[in-house]
Amino acid sequence: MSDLGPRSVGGPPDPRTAGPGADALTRATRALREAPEPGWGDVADRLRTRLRTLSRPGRPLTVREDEAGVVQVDTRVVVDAVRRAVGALPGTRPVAVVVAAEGTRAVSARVDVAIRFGTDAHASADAVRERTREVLRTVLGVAHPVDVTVADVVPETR
Amino acid sequence: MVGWGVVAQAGPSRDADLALARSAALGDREAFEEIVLRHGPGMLRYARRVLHDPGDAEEAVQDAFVAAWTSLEGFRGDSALRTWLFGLTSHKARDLARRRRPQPVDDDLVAGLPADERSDPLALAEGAELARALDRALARLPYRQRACWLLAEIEGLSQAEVAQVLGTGPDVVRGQLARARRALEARMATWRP
Repeated sequence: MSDLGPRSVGGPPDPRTAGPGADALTRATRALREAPEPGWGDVADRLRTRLRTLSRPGRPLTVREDEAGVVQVDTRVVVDAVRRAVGALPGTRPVAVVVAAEGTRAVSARVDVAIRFGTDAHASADAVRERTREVLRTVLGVAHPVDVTVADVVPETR
Repeated sequence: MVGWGVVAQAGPSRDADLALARSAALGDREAFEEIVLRHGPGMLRYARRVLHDPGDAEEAVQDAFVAAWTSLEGFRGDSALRTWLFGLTSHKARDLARRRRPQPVDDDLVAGLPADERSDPLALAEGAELARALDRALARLPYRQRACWLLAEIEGLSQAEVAQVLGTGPDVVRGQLARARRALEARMATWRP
């Protein structure tokens, strides 16, 4: 929830304007709001099954091209690998990963990260760049240039 | 990844939601499952009561989450994730409502409500009866009044957020809520335990 604008009910009815059914409405509203939604577990299972079959559209990146044929990797594979690698760094969480390409050839990458409050931003950015280049070298065969932006600072986990 | 860097809290928060949304946008399916668990029950509750058809309600919620998964990269966090998700649900529900004929309210829709922590069986029974009576009263409201009231009073969205979800203005929402409340109070006035 955000703090945008007033909320209308939630509390007891205003006695100046409440009709004879106000009390029953308030209690019924609370009952409806607090009750778990019946059957949600089954719906969630079916939803999970459907979501597993979905994939997002990505772009093919050429890894190798020779007389034997072409080897390509989808950008989603690269993004996912970078997300996992950067997410494993202490105090750092990836918030955006973009692979820039000319045609199907990757040329660079950009990684935006959130760092935990108190984390050394320069050291984190260096670690993110290094880790990302390792991933690019492993997945695409070339350690392309990587731009890193510290996009957010988040509070310490309690 | 889930919960990282988030100040401990009792319920879903905008910061935690944004962190989950960012992770999910990068392909983190566990983060997306957490989003589903956080907001799915409310979305289903809303869809069931605006549509009055369990099958349609599930379809609306499933389609909303599929749309969310495929378009999360476009979610910038300008609005709360919850508002965005309810906007998707509302859009899918409205499409289904337009295609379907009006259905009579089904009392079984709220079977089992409310399963709260109170141990007093009389209080539990009364709560369930109240909820059924409210569902019947809600079913008689025009679609837009019902949607406004559910989003504001049951799902806890602000009037500005309700306006965003339904694609209308806050003044319209305020008017719809006032009319919905008057109608519901009048219908609940006859309720007796």
